[in-house]
Amino acid sequence: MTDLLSVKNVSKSFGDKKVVDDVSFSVPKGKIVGLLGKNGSGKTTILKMINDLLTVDQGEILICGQKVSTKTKALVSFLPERTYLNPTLTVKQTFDFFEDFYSDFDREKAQDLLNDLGLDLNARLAKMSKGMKEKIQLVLVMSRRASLYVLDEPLGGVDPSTRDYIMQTILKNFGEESSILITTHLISDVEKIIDQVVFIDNGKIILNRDAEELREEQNASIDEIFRRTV
Amino acid sequence: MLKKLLKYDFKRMTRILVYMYAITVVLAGLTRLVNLGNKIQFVLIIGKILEGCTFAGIVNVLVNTFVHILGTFISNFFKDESYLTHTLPVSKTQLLFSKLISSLLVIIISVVVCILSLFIIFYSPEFMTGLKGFIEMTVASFNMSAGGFVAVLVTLLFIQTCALIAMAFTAIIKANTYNEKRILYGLIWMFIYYTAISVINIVLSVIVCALSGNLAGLFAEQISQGALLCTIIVISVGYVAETIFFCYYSNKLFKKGVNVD
Repeated sequence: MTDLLSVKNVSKSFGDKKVVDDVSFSVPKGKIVGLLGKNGSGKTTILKMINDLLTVDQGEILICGQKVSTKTKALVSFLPERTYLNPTLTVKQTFDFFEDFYSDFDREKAQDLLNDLGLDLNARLAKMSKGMKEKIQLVLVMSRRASLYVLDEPLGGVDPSTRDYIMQTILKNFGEESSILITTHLISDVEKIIDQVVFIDNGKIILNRDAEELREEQNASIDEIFRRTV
Repeated sequence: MLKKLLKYDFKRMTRILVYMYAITVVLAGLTRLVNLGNKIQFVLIIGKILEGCTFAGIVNVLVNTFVHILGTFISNFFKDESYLTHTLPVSKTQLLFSKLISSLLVIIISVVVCILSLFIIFYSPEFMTGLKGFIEMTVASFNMSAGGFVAVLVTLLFIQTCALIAMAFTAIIKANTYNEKRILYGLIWMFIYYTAISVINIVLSVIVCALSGNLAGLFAEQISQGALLCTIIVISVGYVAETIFFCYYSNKLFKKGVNVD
């Protein structure tokens, strides 16, 4: 099976503190991989390195067999924890922006998703709540026909109904030719959709298994296994 | 892609400034209108108040231009918005050049608005004659026309602005290679770079003047024509070289990778 993402022996330190320690895992095509760990375990740091937001101290990250570059950025659709949109823009202007820079941006799909939210295209981001801005970001990210979707804590800090909306949006817009790498500490919410689990603790990978196999072998949910393991 | 980046950067930087431009020009127009009216005490007072407001507007435009340029640079590259900027499928060089070019365009527009506002208030045939006379008197000893002097001055200021913007961007990028106290490091690096380019330009001017036999003219009570010419050429070449160096160095720093919070 072709790997869309390969993280090979990657390490990262901030000063004396090693936050990612010799981490290796891969994301095969067509799979949803959950990078699961407690807060501060190094999940976001790994995603930042995948997206060229942090330099890699040691090791190598390959996306579709290529090192992280301008070319690979066109293949990856990244949803960070933070709201990264220019608040002075309207929703329409953010759609224009994505259309200008990402050739794989599907405007119709974005419009449909926006209609589901009941949002006005001319609404200004500055006047929206944080939760609403996060939903707009999710719409933008999932409206790209990217090869790899990298979602950092998409369920963090949102109410249960919004979680459902986010999960539905992710599943509805994920194609067989693409893969998803999702990080979260809310394991019970994502466990139904993930194919492969990667447990991370103190910057180290402590388990990397097929989700179904793991459930059958341990006769427990991923959430329970995580609580026992980490 | 550079064209698209430029479009968004330029829009972002001028979004607020455009209102400041309008207010300043309108204030200048009102000042002019009031000054054309009756010379009674009340009108004179209103005229002076409006004139003061226009000058405040001009200062506001100039200060805000630099605040906006640096603010946009920092928020786009190192704050929350950097999560989008650095994940765009465009090269670091394009990102950097887009900021440099749009910044220069914004500075040019701001300066034009300020000059226009001053002209709206003060323009008259007598004012222009006086201004021309003042410039001619200043450059008389250098065997230079008023037009030539203005052209040289504008070119020098433009080149210097390019160097200072490139320098400020480099200092900010350099400061963000540190894990903490980035504002402090930014200010320290700006001071270091500015001192370095000033010293280099002065030393080079002295060397070139000495080699061309104009050293005495450089330190004379009134600078000689030869020394002035040498200094202008050296400083111009110096600023161009420094701009190229800062662009190259900041691009190199960027290509090494960023460490966004």
